[in-house]
Parts: sequence; structure tokens; C-alpha cells
Amino acid sequence: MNTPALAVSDLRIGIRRDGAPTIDAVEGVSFTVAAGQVLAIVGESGSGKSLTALALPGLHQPPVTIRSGSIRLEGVELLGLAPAALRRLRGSRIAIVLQDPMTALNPVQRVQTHLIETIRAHRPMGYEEARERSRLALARAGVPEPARRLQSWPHELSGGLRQRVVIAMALVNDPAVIVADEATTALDVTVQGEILREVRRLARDSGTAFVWITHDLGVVERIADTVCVMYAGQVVEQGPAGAVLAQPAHPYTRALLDCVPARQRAGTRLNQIAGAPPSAGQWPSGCRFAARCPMVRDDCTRTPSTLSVLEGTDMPRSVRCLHPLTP
Amino acid sequence: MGYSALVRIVQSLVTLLAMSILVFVAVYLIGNPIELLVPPQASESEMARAAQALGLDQPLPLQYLHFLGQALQGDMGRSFTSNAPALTVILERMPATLELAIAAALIATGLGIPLGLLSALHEGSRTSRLTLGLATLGFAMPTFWIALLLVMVFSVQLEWLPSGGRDASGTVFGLGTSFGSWRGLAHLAMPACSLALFKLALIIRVTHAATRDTLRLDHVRQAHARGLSGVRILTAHVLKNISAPLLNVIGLEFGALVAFSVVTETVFAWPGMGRLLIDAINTLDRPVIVAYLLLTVALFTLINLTVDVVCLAIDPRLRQAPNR
Repeated sequence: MNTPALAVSDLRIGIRRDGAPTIDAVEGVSFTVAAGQVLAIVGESGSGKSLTALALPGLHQPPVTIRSGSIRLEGVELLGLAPAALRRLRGSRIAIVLQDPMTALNPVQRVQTHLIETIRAHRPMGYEEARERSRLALARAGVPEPARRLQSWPHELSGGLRQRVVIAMALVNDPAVIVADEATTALDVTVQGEILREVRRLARDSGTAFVWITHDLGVVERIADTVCVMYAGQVVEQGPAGAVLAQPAHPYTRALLDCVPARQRAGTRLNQIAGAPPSAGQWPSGCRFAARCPMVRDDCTRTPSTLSVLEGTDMPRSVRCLHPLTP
Repeated sequence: MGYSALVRIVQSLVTLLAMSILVFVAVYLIGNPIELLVPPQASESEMARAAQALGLDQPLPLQYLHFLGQALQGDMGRSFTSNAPALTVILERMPATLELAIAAALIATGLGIPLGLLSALHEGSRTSRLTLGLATLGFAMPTFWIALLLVMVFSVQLEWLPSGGRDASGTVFGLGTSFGSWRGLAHLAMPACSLALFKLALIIRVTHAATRDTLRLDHVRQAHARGLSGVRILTAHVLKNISAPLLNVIGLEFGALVAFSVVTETVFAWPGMGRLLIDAINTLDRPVIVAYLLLTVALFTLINLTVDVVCLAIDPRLRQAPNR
């Protein structure tokens, strides 16, 4: 079997506060993404999805620490790698697109400077050659008139164009994996749709694996091959995106789906999940969703739930629930 | 750009005008220079003659208009005391002050920017806290006291450096300057250091604050995510971003160094413009005072204009019309 582009297993991320014991903010996250595949990680804010995203290329900063687990990029273990070695992989084999395109570019550097320096940080290349390669990257990311845009300053570009430039920076060195943390959240819907289409095309054409972090199930539906649903620092359900969205096995996934306005009948009140998720360090002893679960039973608040393979499905799916919903 | 330059020039002219009126009135209020200029035993008629010769018998508004008319032709009047053209008197002293200011500015920026950067990069470390603490101390200590301390240690105790005066016997490009010889530099060292100390503290703190804020920005994190080297991130994504605010501070402070190094020049007997101003005030030598202050205003305007142009070159956002 081929080595997956990215294989994460049993990742545990802690937050260390002065004088206090380290709090586990994310635990037991495992997934693999094959070349050309798109994995979506979905969850509310505070679910640990962004911590996971930043940790993948090792960009987390104190007080956040990775406590245990494994992150393998094309078979290479990233945890425990020397900073210099990690730096050589960042931007060349694994790239990240951050949420806010308005601040991701340096306002006092031209678009081309960003792209060219990203290329030349990883391989020796002449200026003109790097510039041509930058132009191609802009074109691949769907930037119209790429030759002219090379000369642009960030403030001259719209939010959508800036995010395309950031995506072009991410793919300019043909990385194996691109992590996108809420990359389209700040954009309006039509721009978001176009970018999602580009991403699907990039995954197919260049075999890049994507890890797409979002809170929007609509986005998951449009681009993801597989999905990880996170709640309170844990994966509660994962499997093929189509199957999970069509027939959720975890009450939380179901509740999230019920909140998508497009799935509700017109004229009815918008659904929402009652209550708020627990915060890191105050995890309940039983199932972490129990307090908000509409199908909660007595044992849910006592017995911690574990992620287990869901029986009776033809595709590999797992769910963290004592009483999973049956399809 | 053309319009804002025009506005700036008009602003400067108005400032110059207001400044000259202010100084005229102020010096008039302080006292009558004639009493200081003629010998105490001079008779009434001798004093009247002296006043007439200097134009001081006219009403103040007329004196001012006369001055203005001359000034517009480039003549700032003659010194009451030496009878030399006021501008010439000042410009003769200018090189000494300029080289002192340049030396102090070089020390302050050359040390201050790296120290500020390092203390922000290693935020919270012992070295960083020590640097910032010393910078605060540098703010708190008065310049004249530092100057006296330096003289005590390096001139009196150790006898390493001369306690005052300037030696411009060495030449650079044919110009006599302190930078031209070791003896010149030895004379320059203490005044420059004591003048630089406050500015150094200021630049450390400004650089530190700007760097710390910039390091937190998303584009710096994005630069790390792209695997850029630390040096590249520091130069292209931190230093370039902080250089505009930093230049504004440096520009203003350089102007202040040139115009107001009076105390340091006095302590070290440095023959610069600052001491000239003090002497002129003591003798109510109005043409010299007026010319000096107008020159100062012109200098500040020039520096600000230069800083503005350089900042425009650095930050493209400033080039936009402010309509958004």
C-alpha cells in the first residue's frame, strides 16, 4: 500500500499554563489523507480543530504543546524533528492557508515577492525562473491576469483575490499536503464557491492532499472525500463524507446537520444546539456531549465514550457514542 | 503627492512667519538690548545714536516689517554684538553641531535598533528584560548629569579622554572635522555618547514595541509557515514593516539633536550652535536668535519632508488617496 500523504495518529495537544497542570485541549485525533484527497475537519469553535491545523506543520506556539502522538508527512515523522529540518518541509512539502486573507500577506511587499521568496527559500533558482513559476502558481490558483497581479500590492486586491494569492503561495512548491484553516470563511459565498471548485481541481490534477478545517457543513459537502467531526477536543465521528452527512451516527453530527438552514423547511424556526460546549480542562467524566445531547441516557454521563468502528456499514466509519444512531 | 507637497510648503511658510513674530515680540519683552550693548557710562544721546544705528528706535511693528523685507531677500540682519551677518555667525558653528548630532544619531540607531529587535525576539528573557530596564533608566537620567559623570570617570579619574573642546584638525574630503583624526574622535566621544543616551533608550523602546507588535501579525506566521529563514523573515517581513514608524521617530529626534543640544555643548565646551544661542539670548542679540530659530524650523520641515518621502517609498498604502 502507498504511503499516505499525511498520517496522524493519536495526536494529543496540551495547553500549559504557568503553575497549573497541562490541560489536554485535543486528544486521540487520528486520520490519514491520501494524495489527491480532501479531508474536512468540522467542529464548533473551541472543538480543537484549529489547534490541530496549526500543529500539523508545527506552527503551534507556547503555551500550546504536542504531548504525544505522531504526525507523518509522506512517511516522515514530524514530531521531534529538528527545527531546521521542519522549516525545510514547511512551505515545500506541507503548506498552510490561514483564515484571514486580509492579514496573511505583508502589506509592504508585492505579491511576487511573497511567491518568489517562498520558492527560493527551498531551492536555488534564478529570479526570472522563480517569477515565471510564481505566475503559473497564480494561474493555477485561479487568479485572473496573473502576470499583472505579480506586481500588485496586497491592499490592491480583494479578499477573494488575496486568498487565491495565499493559496498560490501554498501550492507554489507543489507540496504533498495543504492545510487550510477556515480558508473561505471570511469570503462571500460566490467567491467561496469558486475557490472550493479550484481546490477540488487542484487535488485531482496535482495530487495534493488537503486538510480543510471548517465549521460549515456546506463546505464539507462540496469538497471533502472524508470527514472528521470534532467536539470538545475529540473526534466524535469520522468516515467518508457522503456517508457521514447522509446518515450521521453521532447525535452531535446529526444536530450540526439539523442546524444547516438549507436543510430545513422554509418557515420553520432555525434549529440550534442548546447549551455551550465544555471548555478545555473542564471535560465531564462521561461523554462530553451528554449535557447537550437530545438522546442522552443514564449511562452517558458516567461512562466515557470511546471511538469505535461502526458496525453494519460497508465503508470504514467510526463513532464515539455509546448509543449510536442506526442508519 | 504634488498637492500634499504644496500644502506642506505653505504650512512651513506660515510656521516660519509665526515663529519670527513670536521671537520678535518675546525678545522685545525681555529687555532693551541697547542697555547691554553700550558702556554703562554712556550718555543719553550716545544710547539714542546706537539705537538709531541698529534701527531700534523704530516702533516694533516697523522693525518687524523691515526685518521681513530683508529676510525675504535672504538677509537675516547683522548680529548686534559682532556686527557680522547673523546667518554667517550661525552657519560657522553649524558643522560642529551637525557632527555631534550625526555621531549621536549613529550611536543611538546603530545600537538601539539591534537591541530593540533582539529584546523583542527574545521577549521575556533575562537579557530582554535587562535591556528594557536599562532603557528606562536611560530615560530617567538627565543628560547633563550623565555628561558630568562621564567627565568624572573618563577625564578626571582615568584621564583617557579630554574633558571638553573640539579638534577638527583632521580632514575628510578636504573638510576639517572631528571624524578626521583620532584626537578629533576622542574629543567627540563623550559629548556624542551623553547626547546619544536618551535617544538610544527611546529607539530601543520604540523598536522593541513595534517589533513585538509586528511579530504577532498573521503575515509573520504565514512567513514561518512558508519555511522562510529567520533572517529573511526579520528583514523582509519585520524590519521593512517597522521602518516607517521608526523613521518618523528618528527624523524628529535628529532634528532635536541638531537644534537643542545646548546643555551637552555647554558641559563639554563644544563650539556648536547651541552655545551660540545661549550667548545670543544673554546679550539679547535678536538677529541671531531669530535667524537661529527660523533655521531650526526650516531644518525640522526639511527632515519631516524627507521622512515622508522615504515612508511613501516603503509603504505602498500611503501612496493611495485617503478616500477609503
